[in-house]
Amino acid sequence: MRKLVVLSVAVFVFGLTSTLKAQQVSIYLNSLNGILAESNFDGGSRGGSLGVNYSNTLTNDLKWLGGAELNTVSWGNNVVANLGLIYTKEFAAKWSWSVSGLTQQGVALFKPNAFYTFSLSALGGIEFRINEKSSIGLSTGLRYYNCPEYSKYSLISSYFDFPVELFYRITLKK
Amino acid sequence: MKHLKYNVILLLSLILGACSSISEPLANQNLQNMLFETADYIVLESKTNTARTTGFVYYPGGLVDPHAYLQWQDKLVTLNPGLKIVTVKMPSNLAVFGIDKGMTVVKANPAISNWITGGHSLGGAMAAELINKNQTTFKGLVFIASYPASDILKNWSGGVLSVHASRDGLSTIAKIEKYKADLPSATVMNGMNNFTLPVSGRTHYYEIMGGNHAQFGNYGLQAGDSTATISVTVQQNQLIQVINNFIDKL
Repeated sequence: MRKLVVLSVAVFVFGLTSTLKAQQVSIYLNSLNGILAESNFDGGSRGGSLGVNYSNTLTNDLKWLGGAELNTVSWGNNVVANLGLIYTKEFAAKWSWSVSGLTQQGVALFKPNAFYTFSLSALGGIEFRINEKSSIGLSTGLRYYNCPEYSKYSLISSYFDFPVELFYRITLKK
Repeated sequence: MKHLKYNVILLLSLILGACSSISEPLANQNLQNMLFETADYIVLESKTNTARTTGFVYYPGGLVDPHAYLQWQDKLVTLNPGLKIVTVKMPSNLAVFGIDKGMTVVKANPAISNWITGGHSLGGAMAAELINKNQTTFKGLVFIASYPASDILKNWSGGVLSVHASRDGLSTIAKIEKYKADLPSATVMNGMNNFTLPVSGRTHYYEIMGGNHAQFGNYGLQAGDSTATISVTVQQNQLIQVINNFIDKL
């Protein structure tokens, strides 16, 4: 996991120093709504998250993104690093749609020792450009997350959720 | 609105401190009764006796993994096979963010007509808030190293049991004494079965000599607590005996 965190930071730093391509920072709030707990249907509100992502262009429409998130889920609080790809396409003046894939690696905040946790998510969303520099949007999709070590302490240590994410994005530089 | 609620919860939990104390692994707890779990609840009930006469909605202590109470809860169910204990998982492991979740448990179990609630530390204080909002639903309240945040239950007609420990460094004897005035009339117990009848409309206080705050669960040591002079087993055996006697008298 340490390697992945170092890689995320390295990519982030590289991105910040790059002036060739569009750079964006987005701040998001996420509500997690339950679908499955282990393999059983289990609905209801599961928790939420607050995060920040930096993204930079790979091709015209494709960007990589990296960032960090603080979230609370059924077992408690977590701090995770984000790494993923986002494909964005404008479909009308000021409006665009996007699809993204994201992996998160981090720690579940337990004591005396924190536990490793990971997640995979796929999201689709729409975005409205407020002005040249900023936009807001809404995304939703599927998120799977797991805390393998927690399976020793609980009958449930993995979940499938239906996240609803509200984000605000700022374009830093082109 | 739901999104806003969870985001406020998240931010507050970060302010309050985010790490939860983990319980003993399930494999070490040697549970004898039926354990069932969802994303929101942990249920313990007898494997053999299917007639549930009493439900116990339990709120865990603040920033304590909710599985940390299973060991004594399992023994209590063995002692009282008609009892169903439902431990509520709280957002960020802080009961202050899930006070009303206990009513979902009651509504999901219409066959059970007798309900008590209670909890450890912060969980007990929030269980008192649950009763304040649903005064006729519950017959009893069990404070474990806990006390109410205000005098909301001073005139409540149900029965209250307050179990505390002499070497508790957090919910100290001084604090238990201070908040006696906020609860129905006080009766100090001399023994585990020394209840004044009827128990309703009274608060019975039982002190475990030599016990501390953290030994009401199985989650290790807690900062600010004092060292216990009795074992976890001795402390928890007293706890389950007095709770079982209280349920019998309700």
